[in-house]
Amino acid sequence: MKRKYVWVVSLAILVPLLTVFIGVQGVMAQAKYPAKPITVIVPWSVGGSTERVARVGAKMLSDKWGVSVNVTAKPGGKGIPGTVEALSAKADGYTLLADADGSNAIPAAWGKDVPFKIEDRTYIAKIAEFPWVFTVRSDLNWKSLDDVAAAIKASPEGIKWGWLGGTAGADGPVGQFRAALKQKGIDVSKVKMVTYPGGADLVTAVAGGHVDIGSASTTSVGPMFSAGKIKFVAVTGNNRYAGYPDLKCTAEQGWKTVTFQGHVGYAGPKGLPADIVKAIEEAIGGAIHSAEVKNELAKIGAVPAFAGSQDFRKYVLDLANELKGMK
Amino acid sequence: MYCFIGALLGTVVGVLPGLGPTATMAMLLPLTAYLDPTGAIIMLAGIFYGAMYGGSVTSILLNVPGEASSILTAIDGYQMTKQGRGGEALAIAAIGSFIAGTLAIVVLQLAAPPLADLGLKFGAPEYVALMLFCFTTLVAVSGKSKLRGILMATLGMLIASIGLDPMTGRQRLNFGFTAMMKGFDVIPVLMGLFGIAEILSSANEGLLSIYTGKLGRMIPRGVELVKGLYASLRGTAVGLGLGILPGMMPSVISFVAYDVERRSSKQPEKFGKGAIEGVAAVESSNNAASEAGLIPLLSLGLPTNAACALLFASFTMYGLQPGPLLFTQHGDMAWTIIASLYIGNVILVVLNLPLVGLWVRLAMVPYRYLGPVTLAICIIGAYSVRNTLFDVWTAIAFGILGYLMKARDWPAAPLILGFILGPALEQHFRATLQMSAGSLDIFLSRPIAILFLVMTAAVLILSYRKSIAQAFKRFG
Repeated sequence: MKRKYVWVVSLAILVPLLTVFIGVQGVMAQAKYPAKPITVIVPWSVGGSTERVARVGAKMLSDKWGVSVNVTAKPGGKGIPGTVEALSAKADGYTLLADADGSNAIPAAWGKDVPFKIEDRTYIAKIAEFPWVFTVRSDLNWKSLDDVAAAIKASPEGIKWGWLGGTAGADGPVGQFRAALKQKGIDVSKVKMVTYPGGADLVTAVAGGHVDIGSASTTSVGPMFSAGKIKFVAVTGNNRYAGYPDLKCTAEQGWKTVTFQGHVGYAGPKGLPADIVKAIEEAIGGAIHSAEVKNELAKIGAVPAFAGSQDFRKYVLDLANELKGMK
Repeated sequence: MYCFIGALLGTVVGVLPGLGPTATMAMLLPLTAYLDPTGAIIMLAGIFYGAMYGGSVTSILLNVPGEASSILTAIDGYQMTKQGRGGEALAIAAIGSFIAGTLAIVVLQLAAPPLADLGLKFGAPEYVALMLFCFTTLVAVSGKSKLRGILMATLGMLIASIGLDPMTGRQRLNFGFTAMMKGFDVIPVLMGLFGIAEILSSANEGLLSIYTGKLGRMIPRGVELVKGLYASLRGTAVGLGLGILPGMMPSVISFVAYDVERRSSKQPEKFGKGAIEGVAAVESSNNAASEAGLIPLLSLGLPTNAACALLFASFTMYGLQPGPLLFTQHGDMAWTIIASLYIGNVILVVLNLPLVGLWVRLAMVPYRYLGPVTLAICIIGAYSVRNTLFDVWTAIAFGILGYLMKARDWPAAPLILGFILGPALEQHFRATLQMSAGSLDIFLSRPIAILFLVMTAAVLILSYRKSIAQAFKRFG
């Protein structure tokens, strides 16, 4: 009997308390955005490019508004569970997604049974872009993508091409390059595609001579390159990369369709109110060109590449369309 | 000074079950942001060290390994605690770690670049052969019945394959649940199988404190000490040799070290029942391996494990690029780090030998207090890895599974070994076959792979020589 009494008492305390609490939350929600800390969910590991760009973005927001913006990494499952969690949160602007090609265009184009549609989210702002580097074994005398193409043409079954299985941003340039090769009538179907679990593993495999070619981010190739363990043949894009001023970019080498850039931006659940989208958009757009932001991004090998809500949405949907059928 | 604070913080947080070096470093990383780069990196290195040692404290005293690589410390260490020799186990762990750490740094200093090159020679086929070799150590950790051990390892591999196909990203065995696409992380599984299961079964046995006997000696007796020292030298060799391989998991190294030690022992039957050599070898190999991991990190910018990856990230956060240029461009920095590693090792011993008494007293706290607190910390540890409640449910489910297994005398170590090695074996094996277009001949064209395959075969033949001999007799 005594135990039942305890239950009644605790309920009697809890119920009014909860009511008050919910009431307070309701009042807070009506206050001007942002009225409480914001959480940015990164569906990848701490220290990766998405997480680090997300932190730069978080600093822009907290500097402007003085609220804390917490970047929380929820890695695993190729980024999909974390993405789903962020997008199924309440559309109140207090839970955002650090969105990247690995959570939008790549799974949309190549993923199998992905539990979300990339049309069903609110794109807020693109923050940064970064190029990818095509790297090859150091004992090969390939100097350009043309050399690679010639080698594949001569003996497709003799080439080992490392990638991440079509599940991550690093595979974007792979898809584009393969499509461009096919267009030139080069048979890529016999090339041995070797799958690695992550970018670092792939770079290590190239350095150890276990695969001939692979693409990786500028931050992950740096040390091995300076150690002379790997060589570069191209950096993706229309411009050279500041960190390797001598390395010709893909457009310069005549491969105008192989210009894939990685991107990171902020997105939110479907139906995010327009005034919140606008507020974040303005906060990021206003700070993006500061020297500090540029400097922080350069450490990750990225450059500021702001795009507002509408442009960001179009960018992702176009990218997904382009990648479809390229794998 | 930073190093001291780091080592202390690391040990204190690392002592909490479930918070291994990676989790500890990830949690304390923001704290270091207020320091200058050198100080921050030294402090992180200290945290790394401290957390490594902290993990062994709970393994030995509570049978709750803080991370995968101290599972085997728990096997013999906890037995020693039950026999009232917890102090000795802790002391040998500290001494062994010190020896291994110091030797590893000497090697790091003298021979980093050529060793890193050697590590690069390991491609997918070599890893497959090495993994197969590791699976033969199953015999060593499977307790009374080999069959049960093999069954548990298979179950572990099966559980590990839940989530996404690592090669294609296709969902498998997740029964349509998005949360299960993440698969199970090793820390929540560990916390469940070892931590929660241990607490449940202790509670069931009505244990008031882990042992009520006296504290035990702090320093092992002469003979034991000598045995432990030799074991830690062998452990160091194993740790150094395997630790430089990129992608090599510390847990795998500790399994190999334990196996080597058991095989070279004159009394292999003592292992699993409180052999000091077991604790010494595993702890030394862990420490040697974690420092050997710095070799590829500093010379090639290649993180070999999650903790090293965090160090790598903190380097780049300060605009430093680990790699060969680190020594030429930021020479003072590179040497400061190496010097701090030496100091870190000394600090760890100075800090921990006197603390051994304190830790042992921890085990004497009545279980009605210790149990619930450990349980809470285990759950926090499980949550902290990926910040999801899913991992908490995982830990609880595996806790119940572990409890049932314990009650029916099914060994948990092989399950976790299968769980850790299975995905690595799968990934490397499939990559190997992609390289060779499906042909198995590739293994025979790789000298290092052949070496490990021959060793695997030899170990198998030796372990089963009695039954093979009987079979020959029977069939003439």
